[in-house]
Amino acid sequence: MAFLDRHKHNGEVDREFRDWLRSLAVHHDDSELPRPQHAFSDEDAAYLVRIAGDGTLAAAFADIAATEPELAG
Amino acid sequence: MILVDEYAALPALVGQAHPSLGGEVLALTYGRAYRATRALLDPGSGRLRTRGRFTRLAEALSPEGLRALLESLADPDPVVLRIVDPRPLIRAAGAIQNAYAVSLLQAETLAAAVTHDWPIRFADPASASEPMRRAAVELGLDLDTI
Repeated sequence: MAFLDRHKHNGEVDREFRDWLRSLAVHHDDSELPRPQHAFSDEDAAYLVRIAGDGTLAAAFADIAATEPELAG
Repeated sequence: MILVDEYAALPALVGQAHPSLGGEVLALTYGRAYRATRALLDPGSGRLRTRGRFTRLAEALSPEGLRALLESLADPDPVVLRIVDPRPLIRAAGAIQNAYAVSLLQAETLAAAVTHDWPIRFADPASASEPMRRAAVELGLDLDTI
């Protein structure tokens, strides 16, 4: 957690860290308006399909589960 | 609606759903969407120059691809994939975890299938661990791998 430590002062995180966390929020639009389409390039799509099938993603999940067993499975 | 694991959801998000899913709308539990986000969308070297355990996975994507993945995992096109609201599942998931040796992630998956009467299709056989399979059988769920 070194990155967090860099933004922690006297036991509190700084404003930059809090602003960054807020920036990660995804605000949902529940209206009936057309939704934005999420376009992937052929290369990005191929990469995501590959890591879903070749064990790369599974290894990342196993890494998470090693310290957070409630996320295993 | 078919409840899937992340290994089936990711290809669907990029328009390459497994043919055996028959073009059905897929569902992914909140816990699985959260886990995939943790692994794939590590904020990485942004303004704060942070790096996490899985930054290398995200770095292989183009910036546009990473942004599209972030958006589609958090708010997917509902004709392709829906993230299951975990709130109605709290009691069922708790009861399942009290009865079976499964993780919270697995209990939420089982609870979603029981509550909504959805079949479960996993693209990775490892998602269907022995305790998970046993619980699915006892709960009368349609669990299979593709």
